[in-house]
Amino acid sequence: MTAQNDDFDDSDSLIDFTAEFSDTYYVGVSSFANSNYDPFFEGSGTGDSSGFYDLFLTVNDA
Amino acid sequence: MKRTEKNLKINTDPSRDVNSDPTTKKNQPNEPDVSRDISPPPVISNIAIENGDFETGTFAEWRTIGDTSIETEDFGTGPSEGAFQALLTNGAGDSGGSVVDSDLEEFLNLAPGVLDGFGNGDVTEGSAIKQTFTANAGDILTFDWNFLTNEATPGDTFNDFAFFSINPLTIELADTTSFLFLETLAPDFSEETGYQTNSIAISESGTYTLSFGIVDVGDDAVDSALLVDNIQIGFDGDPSEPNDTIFEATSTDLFGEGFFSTSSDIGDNPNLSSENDVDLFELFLDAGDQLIADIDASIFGSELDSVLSVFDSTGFLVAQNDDFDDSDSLIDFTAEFSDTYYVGVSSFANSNYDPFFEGSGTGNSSGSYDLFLTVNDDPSEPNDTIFEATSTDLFGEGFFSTSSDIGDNPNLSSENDVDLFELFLDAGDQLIADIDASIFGSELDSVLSVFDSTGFLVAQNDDFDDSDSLIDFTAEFSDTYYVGVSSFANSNYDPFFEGSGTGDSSGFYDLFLTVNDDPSEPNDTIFEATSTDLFGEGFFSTSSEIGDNPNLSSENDVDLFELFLDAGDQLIADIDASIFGSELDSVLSSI
Repeated sequence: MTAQNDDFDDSDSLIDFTAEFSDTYYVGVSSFANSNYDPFFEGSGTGDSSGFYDLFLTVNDA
Repeated sequence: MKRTEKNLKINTDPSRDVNSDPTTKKNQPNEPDVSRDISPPPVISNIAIENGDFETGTFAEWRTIGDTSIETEDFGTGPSEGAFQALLTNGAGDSGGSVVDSDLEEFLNLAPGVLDGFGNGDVTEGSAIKQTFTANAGDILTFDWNFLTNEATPGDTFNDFAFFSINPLTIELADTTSFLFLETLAPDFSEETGYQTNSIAISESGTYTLSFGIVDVGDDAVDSALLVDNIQIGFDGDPSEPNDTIFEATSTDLFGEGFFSTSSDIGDNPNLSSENDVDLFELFLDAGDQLIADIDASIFGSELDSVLSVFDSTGFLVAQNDDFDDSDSLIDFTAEFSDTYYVGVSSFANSNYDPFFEGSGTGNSSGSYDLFLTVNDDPSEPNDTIFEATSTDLFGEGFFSTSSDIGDNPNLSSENDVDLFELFLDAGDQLIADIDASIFGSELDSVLSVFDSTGFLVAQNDDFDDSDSLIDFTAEFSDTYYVGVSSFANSNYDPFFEGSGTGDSSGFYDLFLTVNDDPSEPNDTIFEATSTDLFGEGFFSTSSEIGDNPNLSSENDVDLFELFLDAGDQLIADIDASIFGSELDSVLSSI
């Protein structure tokens, strides 16, 4: 895990992350408090809510 | 000489239009109760002007002053109608001759100086006739007139003129500057305008005095004259009136499905006070046909506060509405029996009139309205069971929407109606079923249900948005499913039996069904992450859902998105969810 955010705007999340290394990265969306899931195993964590969301990913190069 | 204008074409020729020609229009500055009419010739249905055509050969019913006489065609220019016409001159004659302008003004109930105020010059003398009559709003007064003169034409030195007055308005008919002059055969005059026709619409019911006059201007030597004939007061051309009873109802030609619209007035029945007018419209409905009757009136500024009623052929009131949109009325009625029905338009609070008796009720307003009648025969009903469910043609991913009604099944009380819609879902397909009803003012308090092909209830929602319902359902198995719309609290009906449940409301709704097959799921692991195609600088956005992995409890769903970042690249990942009302309390991770 390189970055995580639960609540930024009300209960909505935001991450501002700068890559230290060139790599393939994965952005994960889950429900609170499903913050310890294993991204290699489906259903490995437990959340408490579900619903629609909009995701916006912006990458600015160095 | 024959008249040159038989109909009301005077209004189509600008040279003869007293509204546009300053040489022939001299309105008094009073606020007019009457206005020029530019509609087609009126249908004369009753004559409220007595002896308006002078066919008695006398001035019976008229009062006269000055030099007036009844003339025949022997005068040299004949009547416009019948054998007799009235002649007024500003010269001398057997009846005593013209009177001075102050006497004329007194006779006409005009303020001193009004005639001089026309601007033609000093009015010296003249003659006039008058009659008092009663008219209803919507009546039209028509008359024929012919101005003759020995003055030089066109000229404005001795600008004699003819006029008529209908209190409080006095309007010039013609003077010596008129463009209409032709040589006349009348031996005492050199020119005439020929017979012209004027019409005046009466905008308020009341008692009026109609007068005609001719005056000398600048001198009292050279004469002019006015011939008047064929004065009529009549109803203004709405042949639909009276349509206050079932016997006289206006036909809509609606026989089952179709559309009818009309623009009309409450207040145009000449037999009634305007506020007691009723307009009835006839149509035929089959059992189960839906009639939507819609009035627009106050919405466009009409004074009418409408009441809409629907009667069956026996005159029994089957539906009524006072106010739907502001004070405008709307009825949504489903015929229980095939019958001839009558839609009645009246003014508030005339809601107890007898559709067999004209003038049987009392309203409080009048004015114009637009009526829209829409008849839908409803092949979708009954659709209360799985066997008769309305097909959506949805087979996996797709969209379906419909506008319908809880309450249009003619076999059931309106509140017990259920509408079922059939669709096929693959396992993992997401169905979003959304009702709009109360949000646009419908009386329906909706309940949404989803059944599988065995009739087993797999999802249900009463209230999502106010009392409107929404279901977000992911199919666990591939199957034919049924979306049911009912009214609260009809949530235990059996989708195999019509009328098996009891609701408490009815009304219109819009139903939106969205099926998403979700190729992104499962995307809960790095191996199955959804690609963003981001490789360094760029932007990606998506709308998705936590809870659409059919393999997991909805709250344990994780969505992973793959991207490549160079060292030093800044990633901003932003979730919007609760901000637009989603139930999701999100967690973002970057791995």
